[in-house]
Amino acid sequence: MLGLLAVSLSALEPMALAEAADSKLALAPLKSKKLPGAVTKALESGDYAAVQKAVVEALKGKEITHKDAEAVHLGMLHELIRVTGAEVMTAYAAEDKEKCEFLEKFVTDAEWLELYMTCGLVPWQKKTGVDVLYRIWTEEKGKVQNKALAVALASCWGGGETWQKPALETALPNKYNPVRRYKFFQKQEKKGLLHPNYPNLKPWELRFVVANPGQDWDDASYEFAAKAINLPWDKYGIACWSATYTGTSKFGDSVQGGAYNLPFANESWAEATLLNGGVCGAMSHLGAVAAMAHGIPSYTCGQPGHCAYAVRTERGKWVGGFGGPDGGMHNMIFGHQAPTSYNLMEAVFADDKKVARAYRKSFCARALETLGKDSEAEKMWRSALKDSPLHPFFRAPLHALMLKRGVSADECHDYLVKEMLPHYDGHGVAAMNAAADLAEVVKQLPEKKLLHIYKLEQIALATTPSSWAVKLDELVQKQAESLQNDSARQAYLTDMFTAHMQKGDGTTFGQLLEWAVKTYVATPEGSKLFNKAFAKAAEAAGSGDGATGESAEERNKKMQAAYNKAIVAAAQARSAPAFQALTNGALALSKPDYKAAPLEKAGELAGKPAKGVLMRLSTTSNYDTPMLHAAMMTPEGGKCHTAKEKTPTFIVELQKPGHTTGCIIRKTNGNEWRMKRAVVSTSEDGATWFKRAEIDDMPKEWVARFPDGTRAKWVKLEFENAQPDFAHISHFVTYTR
Amino acid sequence: MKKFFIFLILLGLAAGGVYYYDPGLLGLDAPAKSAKKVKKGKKAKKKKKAEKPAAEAAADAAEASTAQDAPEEEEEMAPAEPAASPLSFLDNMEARAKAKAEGVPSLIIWYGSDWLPCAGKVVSEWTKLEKKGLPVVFGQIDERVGVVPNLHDRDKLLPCGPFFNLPAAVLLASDETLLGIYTGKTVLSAAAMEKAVKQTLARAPKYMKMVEKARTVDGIEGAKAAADALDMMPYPDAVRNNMLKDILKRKDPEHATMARYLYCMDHMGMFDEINAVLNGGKGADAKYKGNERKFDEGIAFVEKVMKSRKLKDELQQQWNSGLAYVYREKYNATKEPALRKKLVQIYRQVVKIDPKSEYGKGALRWANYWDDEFPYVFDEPYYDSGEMTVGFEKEWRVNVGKQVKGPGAYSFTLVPCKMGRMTSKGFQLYANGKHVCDANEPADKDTKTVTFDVPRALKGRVEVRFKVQCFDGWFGCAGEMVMKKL
Repeated sequence: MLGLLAVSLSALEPMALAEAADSKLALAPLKSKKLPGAVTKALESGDYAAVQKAVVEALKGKEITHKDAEAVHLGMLHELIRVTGAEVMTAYAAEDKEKCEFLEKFVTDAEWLELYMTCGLVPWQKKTGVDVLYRIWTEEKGKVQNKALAVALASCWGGGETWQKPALETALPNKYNPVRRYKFFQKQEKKGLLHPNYPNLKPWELRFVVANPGQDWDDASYEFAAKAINLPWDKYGIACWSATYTGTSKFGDSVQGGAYNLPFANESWAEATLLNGGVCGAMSHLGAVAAMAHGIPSYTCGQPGHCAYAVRTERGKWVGGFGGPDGGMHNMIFGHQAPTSYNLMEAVFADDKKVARAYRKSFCARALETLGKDSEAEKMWRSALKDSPLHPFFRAPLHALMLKRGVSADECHDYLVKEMLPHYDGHGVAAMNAAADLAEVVKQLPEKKLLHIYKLEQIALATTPSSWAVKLDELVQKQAESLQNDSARQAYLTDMFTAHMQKGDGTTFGQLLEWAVKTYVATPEGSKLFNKAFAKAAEAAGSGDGATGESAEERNKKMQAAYNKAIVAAAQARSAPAFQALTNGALALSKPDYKAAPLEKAGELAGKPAKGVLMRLSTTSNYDTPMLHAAMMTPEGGKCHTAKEKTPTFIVELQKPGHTTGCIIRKTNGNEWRMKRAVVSTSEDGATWFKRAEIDDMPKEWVARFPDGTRAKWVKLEFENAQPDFAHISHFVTYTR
Repeated sequence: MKKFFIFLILLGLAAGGVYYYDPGLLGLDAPAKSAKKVKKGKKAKKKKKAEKPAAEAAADAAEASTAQDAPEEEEEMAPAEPAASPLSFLDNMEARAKAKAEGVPSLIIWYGSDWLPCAGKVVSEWTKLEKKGLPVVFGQIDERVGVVPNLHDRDKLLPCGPFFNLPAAVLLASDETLLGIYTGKTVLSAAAMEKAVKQTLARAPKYMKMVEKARTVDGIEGAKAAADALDMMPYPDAVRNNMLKDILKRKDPEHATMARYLYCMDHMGMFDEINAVLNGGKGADAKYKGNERKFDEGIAFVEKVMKSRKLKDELQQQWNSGLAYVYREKYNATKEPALRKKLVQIYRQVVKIDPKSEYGKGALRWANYWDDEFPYVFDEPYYDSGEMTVGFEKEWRVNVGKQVKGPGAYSFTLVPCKMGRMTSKGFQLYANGKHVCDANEPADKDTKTVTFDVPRALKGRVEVRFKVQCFDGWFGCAGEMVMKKL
C-alpha cells in the first residue's frame, strides 16, 4: 500500500540503498536516518531558508549519487523547499508550533517524503500540499496509516503546478475536506468496498481516485455514490447512465441556468444528479465519482460542446465513459490532452523501479545544479533519463542546462537524433514538446539536418495513438515557420504526409491534414505547394520507398489511394474542412464513373435537404470509395462500403444545428438483402444520442421521420446486424426546416 | 481429474441447477466463507440512526424507491463479504422459458457473485427465499466481470431495462409481462422479498386481466386498459413497463385518454408539452414568447391532465410541479403578487404529498425561496448557490452564538469563494428574536463586511440578520461568513 514500501525494512542494512530482492516491484524505500546536525537545528527553528542553506552545506562535502541514501534524502529536502518555497514553508511553520513540529517530522521521514516528491506533481510555491498532509497527520495523531493516499491528496488537492490557484483555496470547507476524503477511502478499504487493485495503486495513480477538487465533486458525492451505484468492476464506464438524461429539472428549469440545482442544494451533486438527472456534465461527473468512490481511477474531460469521462480498468488501460476518454482531462500530470497525456503518464510510471531510481537521480541532479556543478548535474539528468527517458520533468532541466552551457546546433542535432528521439516512438507529441525547448538552437542547422529532425518527429507522431482532442497545430506551425522557403516547407509536408500514410493509424494524419489544408489551401501558391507535397507523399507511401518511373495510370491510382486514406483520416479526426478539401481534391484528380440511382421519396419529408459537412463511417474497406462519401449526404447520392461488422455506423455532421424533420436512406443497387434492422439517432453535441426512428426490415429506400421539435447537428444511422456484414448505401440525406 | 470436474459441471447443468461453473469447486477460489452478521442492540441501533449523515440517509431513501419497503432489519449486513458461491438458480432466459412452459411467473435476481460487497447476503437470503414456497421459477443474472459486455446488451436483459445499483430483482408473468420490480433493502431480505412478491402476486390476476384487454382490444378502449393496468403499479415500476407504454402510445396517438402524458414521458417530456401549449408550438413552430405566452391555456392543460386520472405519489407531485411552473412563468411575466402566493401554495402541496421524496425536498426549497415571509436560516457559517435569489432580496439569518461571547466590537464578513455578484445590506444583530443593535454601516449600503458594538453579554440564539440578493446563476453565491471579536 505504501507506495515504494514494498519490502520489509528490517531486511535492509542501515543506510543501504541496495535494491530489494524482488527488484521487479520497487526500489527499497529510503530509510530515515538522522540528518546532519546543522540541518536538524535549522529544522527545529522552522526557518526553511536556513534549512536550505544547511542542506547545501551538508551536500558540499558529499559525493552526490543516487546510491547514497543521505545524499538522496538531502536532495529531496532541497527539492521540496525549492518547489514549495522557503518563504512559504517558513511562514507555514511560524503559524503554530504544531505545524513546525509536523514539518520537521515529515521531512525527516525519508520514506514519506519520497512518496510525496515522486507522486507526479508537487504543489508549486504553495503551502496547500503540506497543509493537507498536516491535517491528515493531526487527524491521525501523528501516525499516518496510509501515506500514499495522504500524498495523493496533498499533490492533487494542493494544486500548485497543476492549477495556479489550488482549488482548496476556494472550495467550501464543508464540501471539500481532504481529511474527510482520506477517511472515506480508509473506511471503504477497511470494509472491502474498493476495487481489488486499489491497495496496489501508487500515489500518482491515487491522484485519479481522490479527484481534483477544482473540477470534481464534493465529499458527500463520494459517500452517496459508493452506496447508490454498484456495478461490476469493469462496468463503471456506463455508470453515468444510472441518471436520467434531462435538460429540464423536476421543476421546469433549464440545466443551463442556476435554478436547475437550486431546489436540491442541500444534496450532494451525486445525489441531486442521480435523483433528478442532468446532461453530459453532471452525468459524466456522476460516472466518474461512482468509479472513484469504488477505488477505480477516473477523470472527467471536456469536449467541444460535451463532457465525458474515463475510467482506468487496469494499469495503462483507460476506457471511455459517455464519449470519453478523449478530451481535455480535468485531472492530469503531464498535460491534459487525452489520450497522449495519459499515455505519456502511463509510460513514464510504467516501471516502478526504474522511475523511482530516476527520481532519486533527479534529486541528486538538482542538488548538483545548486552546488554549481552543472557538468555533473547534466550527466546526472542524462542518467535519470536513461531510467525514465520520457519524463518531461527530467528532460526539461537537462535541456535548460544544455542551453545554459551554450550547446551547439550540431550537438543538438546529434542529441535529438541519437539520444532522445529513438525513445519517443508512440509519444510523438511529447517528443515535439520536448524538442521545442531546443528549437532556437536547432533552427540554425542546415535545412537538410533540420528537416531530418522534423521527419523523425513526424515518424514518432505517426505511431502515436491520438485523437481529435490532441492539438497539434501550434507544434507543427512553429516547425513550418522555422523553415526559410517554400521548397523546404514542401519537403516538410511531404515528410509529414509520407510518415502518416506509411505508419499512421489515421487520427493524427487527419488533424495534420486539417492544419495543412487551413494553412496552405487558402491561397493558389499554398494550394500548389500542398498538392505537390501530397502527390509526392502518395508516391513515396505507395511504393514504400518513394521510387519513381511509374506510368501515369499507376501514379493516379496511388494518388487516389492516398486521397481515400486521407479522406477517411480527416473524417476520423472530425475535420470538416480537411474532409471537404480532400474530397474536392480527389474528385478533381479523377471523378469515378458512377451515378447513384435517384431518390424516389424525396418529396415525402417536410423541409429541405440540409447541407452536410462531414460523413463519418465506422469502418472502411478495400471496396470503399471515400471520395464519394460526401455525396451521400446530398440528393444526388454517392456510395460507400464498410467492412463486415455487427453495427456498421454512419454519422452525418450538418453545417449548422437545426430543426430536423427526418432523413432518407437508400441502399445501393444490388444490396437490398443486406441491412435489415436500422436505427437513426440524433445529437446536438455529437456525443449524446437520442433514438428517433427504427425499422426492423428496412426497404430499399427508407424515410425515417423524426418527432416534432427534433433539433440536431449530428444524425447517426446504425445497422444492427445479427451477424457481421457489410453496409453500402447511396444516400443518407437529412431534411431540416 | 479435470474430466471429472467437467462431468460435475455438466451434471449440475443437466439438473437445472448450477449454470456457471463454481470457481470454488475447481479450486480456483478461496474457501467459501459465510457472511458475517452483526447483531445490534436496540439502543445501539437507535444511536446509529440518529448519527446517520444526511447523505447516507438520502442514499437509503433512494434505495427504497419502490413501494415494497423492507421491514425494519434486525441485522446489519457485514461489509465486504464476497459471495460464498453463486446462487444455484437457472439463468435469466432459461428461467423465463421454464416459467412460460409451466405457466408460472419467474423471479429474476440481478446481482454479482464475485465483486458485489453484499453478494454473500444475497446468496444466503435468496437461498432462504427459494425455500419459502413462492409459486415462481427462480432465475438469476449473475453478472460477473465480462458477462454483459456493454450498455446496449444490458438494456436487453430484462423487459424493464437495466439496473445500475445492484442487486435488483424483477417478477415477470409467464408471458414475460412485468409484474414487479424490487430494489434496495427489499432484495437483501428473504422476509421482505416474500412479503413484496406475495403482494404483487395478489394483485396480479386483476392486473393481468387489464393487460390482456390492453393487448387484445383495439383503439382507445385498449389504451384505457393499459392505463388502468399501469395505475395498479407503483409509479417507478409503471414508468419502466415498456410493453404497456408501447400499447398506450400505439392505441392512443391523439392523447384521448391523457394517460400517455402520465406514463409515457418523464418530467422533461411533461415540460416539453407544457411549453408547447404556452408557446403555441414546439421548437421552430413556437408562435409566442415572453409575456405573449398563453399562461392560462397552460394552466388549463395541466389541470385537465391532472383531472384525467386519479394521480398518486410521485406522479401527483410531478404534475403539481408542472402547474407551479406555469404559475411561476406567469408571475415572472406579470409580477402579480397573487400568483406568487399561489405558486408557493402549490409547492407546499407537493411537499405535503411526500416531504421525504426528491420532489418534496425540492419543492420545500422552492416554496421557501418564493415565500416573502420565509428567511434563509444558517447554522453553519457557509452559503452556497442554493441560497441565491434572483430578482428580489431575501433575509438571511446567520447563527453567530458561538462567536459572540460577551460585549465588545465584532466584525462580520462575507468571504466569497466564487466571483458571483451579490448584494448584502441592512445588517443587524438579534438575540432570541429581539433586536440588539445595528451594524456600523448605513442600512442601505451594499457591503461585505460590517462591525457590531455588542453592548452586553447575549443569551440564547444570536443571529446576524441582513438582506441579500445573488444575481449569478451558476455557483455564484458561495462563501464563508466569519464573525470575529476585534
